[in-house]
Amino acid sequence: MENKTHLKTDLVIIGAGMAGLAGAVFAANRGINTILVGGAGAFEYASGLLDLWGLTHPDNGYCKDPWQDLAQIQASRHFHPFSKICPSTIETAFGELTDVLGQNGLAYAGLPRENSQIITAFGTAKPTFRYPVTMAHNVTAFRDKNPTLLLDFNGLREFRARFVQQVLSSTWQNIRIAAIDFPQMSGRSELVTPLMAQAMETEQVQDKFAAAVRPQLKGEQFIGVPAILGINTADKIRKRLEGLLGVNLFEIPTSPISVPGIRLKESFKKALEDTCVTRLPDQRVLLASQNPGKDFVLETHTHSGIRAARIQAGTCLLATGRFLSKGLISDRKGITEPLFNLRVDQPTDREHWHAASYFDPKGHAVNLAGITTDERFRPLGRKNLPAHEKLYAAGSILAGQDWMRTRSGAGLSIATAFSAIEQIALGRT
Amino acid sequence: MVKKKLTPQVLIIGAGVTGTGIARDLALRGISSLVIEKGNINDGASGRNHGLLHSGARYVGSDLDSASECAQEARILKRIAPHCIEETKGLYVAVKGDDESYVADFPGLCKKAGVFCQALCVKEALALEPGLSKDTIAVFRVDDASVDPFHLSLENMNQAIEHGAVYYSNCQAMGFSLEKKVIRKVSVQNCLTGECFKITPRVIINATGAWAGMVAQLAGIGLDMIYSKGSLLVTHNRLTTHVINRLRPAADGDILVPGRTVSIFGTTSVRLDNLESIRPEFDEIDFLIDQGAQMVPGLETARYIRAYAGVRPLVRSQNETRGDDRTVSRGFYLFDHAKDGVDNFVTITGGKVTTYRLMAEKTADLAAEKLKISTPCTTADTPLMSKAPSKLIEAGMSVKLWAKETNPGDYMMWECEMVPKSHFKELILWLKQNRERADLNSLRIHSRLGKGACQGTFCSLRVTGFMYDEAYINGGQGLDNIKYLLTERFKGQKPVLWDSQLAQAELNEAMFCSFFGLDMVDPDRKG
Ligand SMILES: Cc1cc2nc3c(=O)[nH]c(=O)nc-3n(C[C@H](O)[C@H](O)[C@H](O)COP(=O)(O)OP(=O)(O)OC[C@H]3O[C@@H](n4cnc5c(N)ncnc54)[C@H](O)[C@@H]3O)c2cc1C
Ligand SMILES: Cc1cc2nc3c(=O)[nH]c(=O)nc-3n(C[C@H](O)[C@H](O)[C@H](O)COP(=O)(O)OP(=O)(O)OC[C@H]3O[C@@H](n4cnc5c(N)ncnc54)[C@H](O)[C@@H]3O)c2cc1C
Repeated sequence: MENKTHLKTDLVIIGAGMAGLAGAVFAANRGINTILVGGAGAFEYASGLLDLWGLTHPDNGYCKDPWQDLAQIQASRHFHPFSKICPSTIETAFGELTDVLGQNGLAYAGLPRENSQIITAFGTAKPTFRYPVTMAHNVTAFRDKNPTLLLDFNGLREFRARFVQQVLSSTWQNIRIAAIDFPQMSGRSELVTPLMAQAMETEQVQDKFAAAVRPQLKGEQFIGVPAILGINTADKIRKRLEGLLGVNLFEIPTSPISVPGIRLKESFKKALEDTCVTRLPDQRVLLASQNPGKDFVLETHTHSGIRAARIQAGTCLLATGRFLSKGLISDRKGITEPLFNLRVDQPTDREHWHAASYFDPKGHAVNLAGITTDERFRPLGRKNLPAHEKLYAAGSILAGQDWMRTRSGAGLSIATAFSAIEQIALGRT
Repeated sequence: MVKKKLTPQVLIIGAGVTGTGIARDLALRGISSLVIEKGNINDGASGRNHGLLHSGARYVGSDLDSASECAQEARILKRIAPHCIEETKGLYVAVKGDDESYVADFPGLCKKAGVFCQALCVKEALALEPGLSKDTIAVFRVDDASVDPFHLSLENMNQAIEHGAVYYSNCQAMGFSLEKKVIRKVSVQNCLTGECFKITPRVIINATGAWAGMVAQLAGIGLDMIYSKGSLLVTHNRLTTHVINRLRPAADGDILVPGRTVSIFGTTSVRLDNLESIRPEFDEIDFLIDQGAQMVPGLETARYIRAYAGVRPLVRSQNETRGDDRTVSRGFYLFDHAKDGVDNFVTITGGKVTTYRLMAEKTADLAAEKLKISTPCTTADTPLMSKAPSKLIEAGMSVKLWAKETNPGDYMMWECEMVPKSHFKELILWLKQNRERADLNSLRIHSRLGKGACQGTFCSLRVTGFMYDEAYINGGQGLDNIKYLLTERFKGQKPVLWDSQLAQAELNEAMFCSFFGLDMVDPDRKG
């Protein structure tokens, strides 16, 4: 207890998932002194794609123009967090964030007003708003159904080229598959994409890779690989390999723990270096308290349970995610928010958490549960008043949204974090 | 379909442990049989029970005949099918507040029924099973064991097939053509394809468990059935080494049965009016946990991975004239419908997994008599061991085998149950040779695929990738397979989704819906 650090700051952000990290970037850009507490958590599961809005009604299929659907949500779904943000603000938020990520080694691409279709490791086409440029030819090759070679790596379970090829066979016929050994890893019975990507960072491995691929090409102009083209310099690696092979190379996002998720994490890390944001990535907030009119006081612990810091902050942004990240906790009797014991809007009892069928097009009610806020993203208490004057919440912990079914994960986090930080910046002046 | 197969000596309707047991019994007597099952093996109570190989102790207070019958049959099964049984032993535990006179009478009653029972001092018991409540006041040790009913039924059926029996899954008995007190033909429908066909057997055995009344009705025979539903919970980890029973007259939430890596806890007894939806209710689950925690406090905080319910059939007002005298005890019901004016029709229902072999023997005796065949039953002395690969059913054991047999290129197909590729490949090959199809669903039935804590998140993906690689499946089949698997498994997971399992469900949905878009895959899409 004695060697515990005491820290004082203007803003503390709890949770370093998409909402927390984006919030930290926005805070840094606005010069707000910030402490960001929390490790990557569920972030590592992210696909690296930045969705905005992809699905409103399953019957109508994926939406092409997310803005059109968002405008409808503004008009009709008053409980949805997006109804509190105007579309141009969302656009600004995306722009600001992708610029920062681009400056830190992770360039994103996408159309201004439309979703793009990305082929996943399941051979399914996923609608997304912004995708890493290493996946740019994924979008175009699928759109134009170009003759493409899909590469398999012996021993890699997370990606099987024949899986992708077969699922696509009814719509995209000219996909050929070929299997190679990953350089310097042949004979291994199990490969994992993060280790392959790590190895790809050296030119020697890239050259060997190109040499192994060259004989497999039969005139195809496109090659698809699982997302393994390096960690920190993926786009450079892709361009170098394209030069060596004389074809277009693209990545296909794989199931977690995925390389693009790691890249995002690394890019955010770089972006926050030498800014007014201090990161405490190895700590978790265990206790949070605030007395009216006073600062927030947070106690943090390391993962091994050792008390680490006591943080005093004037403003707090809660971005602790849902059940997977432990921002929300559930037991047989109900759902609670563990840090501030905030009001959690939820179905009356557990029986109503889930629909009878897993793929019920309406989704599951439990995924709409969460924290309800006012127009300024401050959690509401039992009397529909802000629980704390200077407590804000952002990301998937918010009530009234189902980011999984509506394909709006990153977009929800980025937009709500942006709005909250704007409010905080306003309050400061 | 080959004509010959449709004229068996005996048609068995229902492939639970009883129906498959009868097929084995007849096959060993050299009598040909065809088994039809509307779903898959053990879709009924045989796949939805506690898996307790009863020592008999549970029935000493209520039914001494049943108790001794269990004791005898359990001994036989341990001898012929040791690979399906884990000799866990059992403890009977009374806690503060339980009826002390029952505790006092218990050893005497066991003795009377011929059921082994030994008193332990509480300290000794707590050392054996540290998970027991600190409020324990009395403990007895009995010969309970845990049995894998899937393995048992699969072995029954496989051994029967090796001796000439035939099995059709997804085939439902729809009607009987009666002619002069005899069923001539049985109409059957394939539930997957809709195709209808007729079977011409000499004897028909109705082994449809809780559905027996409906099948008897096809011959115009009324059986007044009572349905008693029981719900069960599966824990993520094995909580105890012994079977733990509450030492009190049989009631709700008083049995905890360990089976390999998990424990199964239950059960309840709830009257149902029909068999349309057999599923655990949320309040039943809460009640069970509250009850069980009195005996094993860890049940309060345990991580549950699944819940399911089965139905025990009871036949009402079964009076002496109708009940066949072959029914050696009230443990099961065997009806010779000659008494109802249908000479070649027999119904067997009720009973227990523990006594299934005896039930099969009595039923096969009756069928053989009708066929005028006198070959005796040999099931009590013939090892129940087929040549089919069973390593995959024995989760947990597979790891040990794998460690011994490891060779390069072999890797784990699904981590929570630690199943290596080689065992899996063996099963697919066998399925392809012996069954119509080798898809994710038949693998699910013949293995523990998707039954672990990961809720199928990672295993279904890997297994599907592997199936594509080996060209076992093509086109969009893999996605349909995964969708079907997730849909099926969800039914069991839904009632226990809280805490870590709810978090797991979130990851699962993030992956399969948000990322891979399976919710938008049309299952009817032509692949
Ligand atoms: C499998 C998967 C696939 C996905 N795919 C996509 C996709 O394709 N496109 C897309 O746009 N989005 C995707 N996402 C969603 C996206 O990555 C985010 O999960 C989502 O945007 C929610 O972000 P969040 O920051 O609100 O919550 P989370 O990402 O859940 O982050 C919350 C963070 O808070 C931390 N935390 C919780 N409690 C504490 C505490 N007490 N102290 C400190 N830290 C704490 C957690 O450790 C965690 O890191 C995917 C997510 C998953 C799981
Ligand atoms: C909750 C519960 C817990 C139990 N616990 C134990 C225990 O711990 N130990 C123990 O020894 N016993 C236990 N039992 C009892 C045991 O499970 C049953 O006695 C046994 O499984 C019955 O097997 P069966 O083959 O007769 O019936 P079932 O397994 O129900 O089989 C009947 C089959 O017939 C099929 N069928 C129905 N209609 C048709 C048709 N028209 N055409 C074709 N097929 C049809 C069904 O799909 C089903 O597969 C328990 C039972 C329950 C309900």
